[in-house]
Amino acid sequence: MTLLEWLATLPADPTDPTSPTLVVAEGRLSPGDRKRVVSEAYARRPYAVVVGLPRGAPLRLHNRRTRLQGGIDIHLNHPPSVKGDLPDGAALAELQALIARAPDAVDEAAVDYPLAKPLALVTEVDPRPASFDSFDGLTATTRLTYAIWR
Amino acid sequence: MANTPIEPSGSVVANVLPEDAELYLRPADQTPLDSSDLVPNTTGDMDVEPTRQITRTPLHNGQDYVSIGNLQSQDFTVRAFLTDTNAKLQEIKDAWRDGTPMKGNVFFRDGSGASFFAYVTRIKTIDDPQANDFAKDITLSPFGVTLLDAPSS
Repeated sequence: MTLLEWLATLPADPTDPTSPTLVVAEGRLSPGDRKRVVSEAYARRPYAVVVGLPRGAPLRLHNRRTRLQGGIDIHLNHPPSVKGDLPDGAALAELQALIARAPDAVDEAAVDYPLAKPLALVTEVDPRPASFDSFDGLTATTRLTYAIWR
Repeated sequence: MANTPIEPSGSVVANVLPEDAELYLRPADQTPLDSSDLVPNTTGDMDVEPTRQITRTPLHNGQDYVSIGNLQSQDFTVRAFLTDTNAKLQEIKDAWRDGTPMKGNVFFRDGSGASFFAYVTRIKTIDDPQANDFAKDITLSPFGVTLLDAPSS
């Protein structure tokens, strides 16, 4: 299962049992995703944006294969209410705790392209006020590393 | 005034490396080595080439007495990205466990190499989550090393 597929199975708000599943985007929210986040059903719950980081120096094998290690940032953003009130951060903190378990489930960099090692948690930035995708809400960031064979 | 261009002397020496570096291993008492004996997914410096041993004894008259010994190899370690389910790794592990010799070839990227017999002195598993790797460091103690030249054509 890839990281994007796994994130899409998480609840958008783990503190709410009736929550829909998380909206997940790569790079930035598409206009369609943005409409979904502000829709009545989703009710401006948190969403996730996955951003890839540059890969580091390669490890080369005698058979010319290359092992590359890179990083992924998962930005969780909780938009403010329609009135502009900031959320309290509880939903983001719980969601961030769930994302720390990604190495248990994610084993593919892309469909049918296995990772060379499980994802590894590098750092977490706790929820803080930040502008993201034009939402002045709270953002929490989790950074993971991965390795792939080329 | 502009300088006058001058041609460089000599010619460009080609340094083409057409091959993959490869390590082949098989128990010494088995049939000849063949392509199925390749140890896959290896990295590291395969330091198999032997050293000529020279003994120097200083004499009272200020000169040295020099005796020339044989070519002699040294232990070397290759890192292999293999898990225990790999059949070739199991074969190497058996030779390590039983203390039986193996025979092998090393080929470098220019096609030169060496054939040798070797004892497996250690297989060290690299499994430090801090380093974020999983590999096996295979240490070989070679003997009877014969140098192989690259094919001329």
